[in-house]
Amino acid sequence: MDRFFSRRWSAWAAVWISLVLTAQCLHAKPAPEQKNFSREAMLRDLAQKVIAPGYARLAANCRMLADNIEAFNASPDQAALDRARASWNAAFVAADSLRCFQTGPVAERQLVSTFYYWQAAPNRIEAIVKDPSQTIDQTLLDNVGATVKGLYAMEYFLFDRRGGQLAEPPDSARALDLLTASPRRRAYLLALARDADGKAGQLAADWSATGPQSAAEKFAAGGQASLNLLVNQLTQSIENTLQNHLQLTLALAAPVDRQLNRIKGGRSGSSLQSVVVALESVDRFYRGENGLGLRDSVNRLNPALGARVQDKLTAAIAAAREIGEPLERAAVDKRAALQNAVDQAHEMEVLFKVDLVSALGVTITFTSGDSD
Amino acid sequence: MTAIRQTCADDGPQALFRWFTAPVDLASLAAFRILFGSVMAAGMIRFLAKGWVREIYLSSPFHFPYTGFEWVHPLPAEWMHLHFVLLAVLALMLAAGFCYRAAAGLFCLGFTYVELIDQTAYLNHYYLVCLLSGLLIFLPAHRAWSVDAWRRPSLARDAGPAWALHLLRFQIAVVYVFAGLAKLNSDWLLHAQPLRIWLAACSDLALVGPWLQEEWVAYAASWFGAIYDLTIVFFLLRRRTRPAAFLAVVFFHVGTWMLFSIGMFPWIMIASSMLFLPSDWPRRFLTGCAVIAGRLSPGGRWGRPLDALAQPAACPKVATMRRPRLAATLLVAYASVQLLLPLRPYLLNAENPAWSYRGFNCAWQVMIAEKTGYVEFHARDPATGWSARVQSGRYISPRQDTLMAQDPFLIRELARYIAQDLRAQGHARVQVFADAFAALNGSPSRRLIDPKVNLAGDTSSGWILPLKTPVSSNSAATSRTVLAKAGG
Repeated sequence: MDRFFSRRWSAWAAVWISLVLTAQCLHAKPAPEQKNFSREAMLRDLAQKVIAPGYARLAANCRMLADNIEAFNASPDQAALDRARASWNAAFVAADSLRCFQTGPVAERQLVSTFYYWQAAPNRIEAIVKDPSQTIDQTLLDNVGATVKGLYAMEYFLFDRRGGQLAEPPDSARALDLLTASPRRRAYLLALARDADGKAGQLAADWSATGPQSAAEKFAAGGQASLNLLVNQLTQSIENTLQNHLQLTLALAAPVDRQLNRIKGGRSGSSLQSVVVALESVDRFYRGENGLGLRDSVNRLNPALGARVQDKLTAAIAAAREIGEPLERAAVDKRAALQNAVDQAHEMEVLFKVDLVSALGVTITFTSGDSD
Repeated sequence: MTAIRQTCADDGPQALFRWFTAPVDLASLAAFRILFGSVMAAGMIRFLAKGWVREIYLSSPFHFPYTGFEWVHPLPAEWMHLHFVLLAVLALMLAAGFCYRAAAGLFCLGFTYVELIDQTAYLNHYYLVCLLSGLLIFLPAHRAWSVDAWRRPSLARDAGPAWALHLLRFQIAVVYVFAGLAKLNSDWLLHAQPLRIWLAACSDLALVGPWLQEEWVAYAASWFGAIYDLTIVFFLLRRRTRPAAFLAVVFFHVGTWMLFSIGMFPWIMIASSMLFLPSDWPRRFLTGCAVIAGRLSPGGRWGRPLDALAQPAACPKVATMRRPRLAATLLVAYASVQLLLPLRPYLLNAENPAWSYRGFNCAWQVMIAEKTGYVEFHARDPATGWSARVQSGRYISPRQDTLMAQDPFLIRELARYIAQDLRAQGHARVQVFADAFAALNGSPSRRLIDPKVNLAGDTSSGWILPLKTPVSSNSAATSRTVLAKAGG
């Protein structure tokens, strides 16, 4: 037996090599065209071309919001309020376009609630407004909870609908009356805008910084850990959009207009915009922006899956756009379109949670139903 | 081996029996005891240090028990941690050969207990630890180089029956060969899956990282892995090929340790592979060390204790079996079980055990599946018309959720528990349905379970959908329609 093995070593090796080569010839497919892909390059492109510009946009829009609210405070009239509302909407869109990536400096600096906690508490906000013993300044904002500050507390001031009792378009007259009549209300609004402006500026500076300890460089150098983080964040965002916005609205019992406080963006009529922006931002991370994206990583391993995920993203965004009106109204008169958007988003959720995670060797670590 | 064949041919079963009971040096068995105990102790400490006791056994109200072991539950938090501390102590006692049989028995019982608490904690190497620690109870591994033999010199032996060594070798051979057989499938050989996925995820590694993204590397590793598993035992048994084979063992397992998170497995397998070396290898090794230490030290002082340790204890007695026929019968029975259990996937004619999980566990289906699943539970009470989506997070941890979603039997088990819980809340005739999807080895996700089947009731055959279910039936619209029809 020993002699057999010693004599046949070379024969065994030859057989093995031939088998490998045969398998290669039979099953090797031409590699899809790649734009000089490496995982580090993809992560760097995402950091430099998607995340950093996103925070720069948020900082610019928050600065404009603060300026417009300051102008409104100087001369409170309808035109100034309209400008403030438009700039709030721009800041809201800029923040939501990064909602699917709530990690890095925004988490480390504990600023998530400033831009993403949307369940503002009117009673608590009004209590602060009505309490003259409390000086409205940055110190106050640093010491109060997430329900009375951030972008969505500003939404309450700018688009007040009397506690969510009305389903009509924003009641501009009432918001204007309240703000005009109360200097403390205006001061509160301005403090909120300046707070958001300062924090957005900090985040933009964090992501535009260079050097090995900068946020972008740490993300790019994180390898599989960064990829895990990214896929988890995107998947969680899809689940959140589906469950807490689309499905929740569809499941609300009538009358829906009495429950606007349960719908994100309900006060400002931007609930659908929020869903579309959230899906588009996942798409942006997937495709990449003038550079590599997650899709390139999938394409290396499974080009068919790469295309399938892209198609499904496109279909989900189109289905959401087709709703055509705020979710709270669609829940009443466009339920079929809303259901179609739910179905498309659910299929995308399965693709991300099962196929994409499996193809990239990623582990899902977040707890379902844990967001918002 | 030639000698065995010759003697068997000459005298039949009697000769085989003599070969089986022939004396062999106990040094190899003792070295295995020391290595195995040490690895186990390190493993238990690692388990505690990483917080896995809490994460796996204490973080959720529900666990997935094995059939027939529903009475096994985790202890309260402090006791559970103490249990692992005691397991580490028992492993050290095993390594030292101190109260050896009691230590081996208690370690085996204690380790098996924690494994029986939750099926999501199953790992092939944990199953192997249960088997090896169980076997050690009956083997004379404490008769050399042990505290027991030092305290009671009458216990000390230089040699023991060969079956003790052959039994452990057989157990390791079963692991390797069945792991190799499990790799003989199209995913592994023709598509290099799941290694393509796993290796690409390791491309951060210095030097070899970029290579790991290459398709041909995944193919080469797959074929090498299959051939290695199928043949390594035979190469380890051959005297001429043994050195190269042992180097391959070390290379292979250190490689897998560096690339994948497989915990203690590489070290257990390296330690176990030493059983295939000549039974006196530890003495030769110590003699070699003694020579080197002697050369390095003034007057050769450092070499003497090692040299003394390497020498046999000049004890002419051989450890023997008390009831050889009973022992032989038990050995044959054990070997038969070990050969039949891994054959379940093939005997059950399961299309792919990694998909259906029929006969997947305790069958050495080692590292052949990258499977990801996703499941939503929907409950309905037809008596009242009440229906709701049930969040699995109310009952199980994220870790359990991830693992459950891959295994239809665990999904069914949780569905039944959910039904039990909802019945207690007043939904007397509640039904539970699962919207479950899974992807295996990079293939598109498919439905794993028929969404029309009430998992809380009788599940007839066919509730697990075959792997060949068309991908088009995946759509959420399909899901919604079937669930609506089913009442979900």
